[in-house]
Amino acid sequence: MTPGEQMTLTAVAQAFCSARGLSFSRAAGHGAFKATFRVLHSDGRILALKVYLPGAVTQRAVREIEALTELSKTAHPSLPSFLALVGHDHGGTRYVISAEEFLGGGSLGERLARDGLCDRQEVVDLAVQVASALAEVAGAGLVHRDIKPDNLVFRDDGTIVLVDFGLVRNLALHSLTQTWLAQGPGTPLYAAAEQLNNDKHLIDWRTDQFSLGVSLAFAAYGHHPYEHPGDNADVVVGRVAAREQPAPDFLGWTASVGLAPLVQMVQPWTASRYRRPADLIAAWAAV
Amino acid sequence: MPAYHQMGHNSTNLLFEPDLASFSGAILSPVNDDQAQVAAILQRVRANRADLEMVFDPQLYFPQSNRGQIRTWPHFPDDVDTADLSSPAWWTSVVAALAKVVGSVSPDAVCSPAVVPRVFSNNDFYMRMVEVGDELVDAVSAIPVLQTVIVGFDDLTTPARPYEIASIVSKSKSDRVFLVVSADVDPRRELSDVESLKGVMRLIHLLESGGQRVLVGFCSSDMALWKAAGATSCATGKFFNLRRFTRSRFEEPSGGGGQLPYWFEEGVFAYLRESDVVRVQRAGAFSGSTTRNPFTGPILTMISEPKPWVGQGWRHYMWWFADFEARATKDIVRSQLRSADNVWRDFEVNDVLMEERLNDGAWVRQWRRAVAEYQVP
Repeated sequence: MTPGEQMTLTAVAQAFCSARGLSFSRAAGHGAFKATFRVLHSDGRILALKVYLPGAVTQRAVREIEALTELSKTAHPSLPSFLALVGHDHGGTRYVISAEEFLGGGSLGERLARDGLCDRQEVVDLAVQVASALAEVAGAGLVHRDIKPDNLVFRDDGTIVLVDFGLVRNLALHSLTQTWLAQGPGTPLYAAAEQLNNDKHLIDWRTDQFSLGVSLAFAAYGHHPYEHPGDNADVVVGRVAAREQPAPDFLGWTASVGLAPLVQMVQPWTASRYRRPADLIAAWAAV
Repeated sequence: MPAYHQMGHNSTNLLFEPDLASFSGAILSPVNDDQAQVAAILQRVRANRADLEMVFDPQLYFPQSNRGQIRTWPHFPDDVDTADLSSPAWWTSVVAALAKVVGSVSPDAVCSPAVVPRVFSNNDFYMRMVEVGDELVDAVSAIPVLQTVIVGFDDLTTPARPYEIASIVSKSKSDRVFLVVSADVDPRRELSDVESLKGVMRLIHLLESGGQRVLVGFCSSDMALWKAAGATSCATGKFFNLRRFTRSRFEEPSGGGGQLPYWFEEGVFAYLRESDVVRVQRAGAFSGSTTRNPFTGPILTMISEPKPWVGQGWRHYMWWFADFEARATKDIVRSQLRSADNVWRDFEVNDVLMEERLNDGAWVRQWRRAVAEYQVP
């Protein structure tokens, strides 16, 4: 997104707030097709207002909104609350704006950069919360496909919330990813082999399980589970894509700290990971 | 877990024989029996063997086949010659018809319908079969559904293939799998390609490790390998001392006559013809299982008289199958195969030669390798 587009979307958000009696606070981030703003509702709630670039409401965006709408019904503490979707005319152009709960605690990625690695109990708590959220996501027939520390955001009360469903896949609908693509969507460093190889027939909730496992490994161990000494990120991604086994150092570390579920979560084939969300939750609860 | 009886032609009476009582269930065959006959079997089982789990296998494996009673069943579509068997709508109609059959026949469990594909390497086949199985789970809520998984023996030679198939099959809503191994192996010949054997064993191990209980259907003595890999149960029928799961099984006439009698001997892990039974007995190579087998004595008497013993041979084999199936851990299978390998080595040294030229125990060594290596990455 260009600076000019950011300015335009900021003006749209401010005008929208003015028209709806909301109090515009500040910009809170932007992606390729949308910008997020912190706004204050008259009832005291803090909202995340997402303004999409004109023409950016693609099929993927529609599916994201549909997914959020569906998941909001669960009222799960580790899933975002989706509040509204509206159209707004500004300067002769129609903009799509969504309103969600604003999460003010920063992301897990920011937390790690600021405070360093999580201790064992923190990781277990995070795993239990997000695994429970994944059960809801899987139950709705959805796969997030982009779980990473930057998409795990804290509420002010410390609850972790899985956000950014921009790459969500609804398994009941036809895939939007072309089969001929060498790689499916996702952030490569956190992606499972089936994403990296665009093995669409193998994508399911266990794909998210892998990414969560990698995220938790980064949070507690500081390295990717497939990282050998001296590897850079490209080499690590190549190891995952080639379906190698997790690195011996990682296996030794998990054994020494008693975090065995991480090993099963990051297995190269989905068949070797936890089969049901309940199995994953039970494994973490038993740690 | 105890074995299942794979029902075949005129095999109902075997369900009620006291010496074959250790089977824990049976797989009903709509190829061999029509709906009224199956209903009668179920009624008789519930009156006399209520402990048996009676599993209905719709047996659509070769839908173009015109074998036995299969076309008389309501779940067998009448448009198989012209239908697009890859069509979800066609399968939905099959599932709906099968659900009605289940409601009418009232088995204790049902296998999901599946066809044998032209090639097994296409993942869309497994995806579709799982979707069909899930539809049946939704349609038949009162009894368990076993997800049918047909694998090509030759398709499992590469190490990654069982992982890929297991990754698809483990998406299933069902926690039980009915595994069928389709192999182009001549009757009476053992499955012996080590890489394929390891592939099947890996697949079983992966499914069981993921919480799906595997019942392997249409087994012969290869049951030992599937049990070593962790299969919950295996099924066999009286004819599986000779045949495998092949297209020909569903195309041959269904009569049971014309067979030579065979004896399964655990001591050499081989099927023996009559003269070889005597040969192996003289060599002192009968196993403890054979000694305990209640059909051993009667058959040896019949051989000496001589009298035909085909039917007793079936019973002898099935008693062994249920007995070994119940005690076959990986360690026991490894030990038993090692012992059989040693016996075959001694036979070779001492010129104890079987009547059948190919009955030389060569597969035992391959099986030992499969057991030793299937879990090695």
